[in-house]
Amino acid sequence: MRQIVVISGKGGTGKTSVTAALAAVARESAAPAGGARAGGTHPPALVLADCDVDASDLHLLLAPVVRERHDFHSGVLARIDAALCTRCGSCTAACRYGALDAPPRVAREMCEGCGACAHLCPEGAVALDERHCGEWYVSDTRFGPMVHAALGIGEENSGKLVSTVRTLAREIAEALGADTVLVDGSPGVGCPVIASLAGADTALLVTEPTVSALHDLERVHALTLHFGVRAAVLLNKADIHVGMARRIEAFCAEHALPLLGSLPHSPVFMGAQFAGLSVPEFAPHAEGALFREVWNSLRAMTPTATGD
Amino acid sequence: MKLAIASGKGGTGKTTVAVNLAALLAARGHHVALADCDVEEPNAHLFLPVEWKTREQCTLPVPRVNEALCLGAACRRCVDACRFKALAFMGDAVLDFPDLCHGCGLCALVCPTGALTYATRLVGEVRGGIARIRPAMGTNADRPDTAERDLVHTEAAPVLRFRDGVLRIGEAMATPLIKAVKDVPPPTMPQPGPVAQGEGVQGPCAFVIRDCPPGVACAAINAVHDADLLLLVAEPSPFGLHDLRLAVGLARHLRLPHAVVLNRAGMGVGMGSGLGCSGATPSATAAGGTPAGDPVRAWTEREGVPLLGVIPFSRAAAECGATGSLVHDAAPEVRAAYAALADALEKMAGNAAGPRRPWDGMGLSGLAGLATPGTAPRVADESGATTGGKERTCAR
Repeated sequence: MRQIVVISGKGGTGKTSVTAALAAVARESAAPAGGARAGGTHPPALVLADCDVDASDLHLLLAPVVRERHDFHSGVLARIDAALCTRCGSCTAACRYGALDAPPRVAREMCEGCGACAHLCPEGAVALDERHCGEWYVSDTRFGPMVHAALGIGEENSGKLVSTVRTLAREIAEALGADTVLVDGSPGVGCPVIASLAGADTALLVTEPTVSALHDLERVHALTLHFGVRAAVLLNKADIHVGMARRIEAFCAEHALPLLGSLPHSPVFMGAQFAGLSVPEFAPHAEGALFREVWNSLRAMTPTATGD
Repeated sequence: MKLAIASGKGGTGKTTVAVNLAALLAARGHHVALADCDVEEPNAHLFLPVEWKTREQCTLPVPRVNEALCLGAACRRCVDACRFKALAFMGDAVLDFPDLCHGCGLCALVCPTGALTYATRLVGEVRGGIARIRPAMGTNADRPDTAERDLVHTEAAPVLRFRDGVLRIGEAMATPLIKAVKDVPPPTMPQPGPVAQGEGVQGPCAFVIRDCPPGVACAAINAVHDADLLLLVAEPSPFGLHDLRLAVGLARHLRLPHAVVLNRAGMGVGMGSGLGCSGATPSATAAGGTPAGDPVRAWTEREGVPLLGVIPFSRAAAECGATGSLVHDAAPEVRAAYAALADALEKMAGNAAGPRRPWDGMGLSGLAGLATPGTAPRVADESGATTGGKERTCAR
């Protein structure tokens, strides 16, 4: 089984549109007759995992039908019993996250759940409650099963939620005999990105011809090297600036990064988004053909035998 | 005035708005500091001629076990106390895994023998500097080559103080670095020089502008949480609207005054009804879109979220941004939009009763009236939509 992760460093380069498009062309190639839909006799070509858990958008294109809904609990949250609290300030001094500047009030969004306050409180006024951080779902889509999640507003531990989503997607893929898990990652290079990247086979780095995207591509490429994940690049909105597109191409050549394709800055992406469709469904011929090539290249560079 | 520029979705134009607004306000003679809090992917420095002055390492204290003092299997208190699995007992010794450590310090607190001392883990680098802004900005072309020539060597040029953070590749915890970056004091020296004062400006104000990371999780929360005003940059697309709703949810949760800046306005006009097969796709409307072109504008009106700025989509501006130049002069309509946004912010900062809290006694309803001239101001009475209960919790 192979795990392919779509990330970008910079936000808004088109990760989610690309993920949905790849899922669509994968579905086509798995069921060429077009007769078998999700839930048919064919095993799904892939299982989708939306790991952009704090601002997930993939469901807007895939209209998932939620089959399972699970609460996500992770870590603990300090709670101070106001009746016992003497405002001595021990917890305020101990908390390294600024969550207890006004005890007995706990700033929920700052608390990391380390428990230092509970250890130090001379009155035993601090309780550590299990923390409900969000929900995750197993759903059916027209391209196959999808695992996705919603982090609660102001909650922490997005990395653990990403790991949960990925683990589940992998288990489902194994159970159903799907050979690929396709992961929609989040922007950045921090905790959730690391969680969505670690242990993956291939990372598809979606970029665009801007100085910001090039700068971020350099950093996210360094991250793939750090974690030993094979990387390839997809240049989106390639015609926004020809000179910058050349610089992205040069960067790829210099670092032996395969450039799997260049997509035009096309209203089709926006149109598909408004229609709630993937790009190959919305424009099967022009952009759809480009995505078929990208998908074939990705498959070729990620043989399933390498999955451990 | 602490202004946090954020968005749920990435790539909506946070950095573009932050650098252009900062440069414009500085060019108008205000004391401006810009903090790029998107430490995972810091990009604001690419748009300004920053003269770097300082570089400091940001580190996290992580445990180091002194085996001579450790009681080993008889104790295990630190291993049991650590909630992040950064300490484990293996064989006969406590092993530390500094990469997993959150730096809470509990292990040292529970250790009875003082066997736990601290090493440091490099989180990233905090860089500080200044950028000189052309006083005549908004009148000449802002091509980077002219900018370099005009800006850097002009002593009288308004100065913008700049700070950003660069997260070490492989580091998962961005929040300590964000905390180190976010509060930059604005330049203290008055700039009486060639200040192009607009009408109605009551002298220079101090602006701290934070370019925040995308999302609504801990990194974004730490960057925005004690701002005076949260400017949410949104783009007019179904993804843009969906993530804006999350961001507004966060702003209400944190009780932060907030307003929307619609970027690339007009980009998706007609898509909802024209290109998309509107009858056959209930999912587009289920996603919160409207059949008309601009789902974001319709939603902000319905929700009573003030729309403080509307920056039109401009291909020329997009090309400018692609090369790292400021976009004011790419298109007159873009320049006018930024000027209007700066006017609105000047008015708010100028109305400040005290030096630090322009929001006291103003509330969001006042802001709504300011932002939607011509229509009856809607009073946003959802919980958290007022400034009264604003939380001030962070140490920094």
